[in-house]
Amino acid sequence: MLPPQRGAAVAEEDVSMEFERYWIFAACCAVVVGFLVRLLLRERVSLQHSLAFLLFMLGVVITAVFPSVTSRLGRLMGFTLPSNFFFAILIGVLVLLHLGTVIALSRLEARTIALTQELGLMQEQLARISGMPRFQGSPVGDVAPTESATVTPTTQSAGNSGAQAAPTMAAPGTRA
Amino acid sequence: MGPLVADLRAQSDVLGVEIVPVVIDDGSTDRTAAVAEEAGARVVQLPKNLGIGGAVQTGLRLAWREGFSCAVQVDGDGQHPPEELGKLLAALRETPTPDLIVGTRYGESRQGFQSTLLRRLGSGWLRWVLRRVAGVRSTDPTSGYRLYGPRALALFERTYPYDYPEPESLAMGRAAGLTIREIPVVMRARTAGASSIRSWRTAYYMLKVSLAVTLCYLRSAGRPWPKKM
Repeated sequence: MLPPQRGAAVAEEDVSMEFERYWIFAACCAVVVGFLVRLLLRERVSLQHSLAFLLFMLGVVITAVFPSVTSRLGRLMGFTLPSNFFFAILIGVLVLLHLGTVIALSRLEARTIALTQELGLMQEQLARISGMPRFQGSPVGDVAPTESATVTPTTQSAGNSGAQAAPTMAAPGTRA
Repeated sequence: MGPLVADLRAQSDVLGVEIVPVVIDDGSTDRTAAVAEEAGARVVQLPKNLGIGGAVQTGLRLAWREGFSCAVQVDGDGQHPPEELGKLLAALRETPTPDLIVGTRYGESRQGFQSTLLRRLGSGWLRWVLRRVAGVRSTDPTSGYRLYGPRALALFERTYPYDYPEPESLAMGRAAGLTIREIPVVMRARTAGASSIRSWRTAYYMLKVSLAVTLCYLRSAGRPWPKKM
């Protein structure tokens, strides 16, 4: 036997009872917000990127402290159970937040790769122009251990048939 | 690495073209960079590990900026014999001039190093996806022995896939209107290092590449892509 219509019963409970039930959520949110604020104070995360998340948490705290508002809004939008309404909104907002993070992450990755390539190319150019030996036969281990998990030495050989000369390159004979 | 660079430089005289070996050191912890430089290669050392796609694109950027007429990608593990370079270069004389020339180990001759069963199965799936979705007929889509002409350099200098780039770049090239040509070459078993394609990541690899190829197709079907070509 299924329990008869528990949702309706929950929806009709009075405000004080609901607060008793949901205060633990408010406490959890407060802890997360506290942690986030600590990260902000230590400059581990930037306000710019955590603002949306902070506002989201504020919303969650409000719904936890005033569940009657949530249930009324939920009923208005056609949800029988306030919890369903709550979860639906929660998931929707989290999906949007995550999407934003993925977009930002992808942009950052593209930039990081471009900058790393640029740096490598410029270092090589600089070494050729200045004629300084770079490796000196010592182990080339200046990469952090975590970075060296995948070692992929890729050889690139460029065949120049002399269509265009390299504009500001050192002459081929200047290599040490 | 040392003999490879020397062999590449030796091909310069054999083929009668100027060859500048460039080694991209993507965070090697051994003496790769020093050995390569001693052997006479230009060495670009990436300050942080970028993975295969980012490393290959570094070389393509270099070739593009310095106005090289073409660039040849050669694996650093000895899989791709420099003696086969001539076959790739010879394909440049065909008309229409190919923009991307891929050395395939599955030519008519079927000589040299072939592959394991699992890799052949995966390769079969990739071939199918590339043919059906992207319209690229490739017998060896994972081959990393390839020659990039000026148009290919212009494209991939701007955008190149970061992980498992070879099959995806074929689809990208096709979507951008490059002429892709396959040339049978003899490949060797790698003399050093391990494949970046490990068996436990095969599922991710297949899924990612299949989706990426589909995305390339959708991009080309939607709007003119890439913008400046």
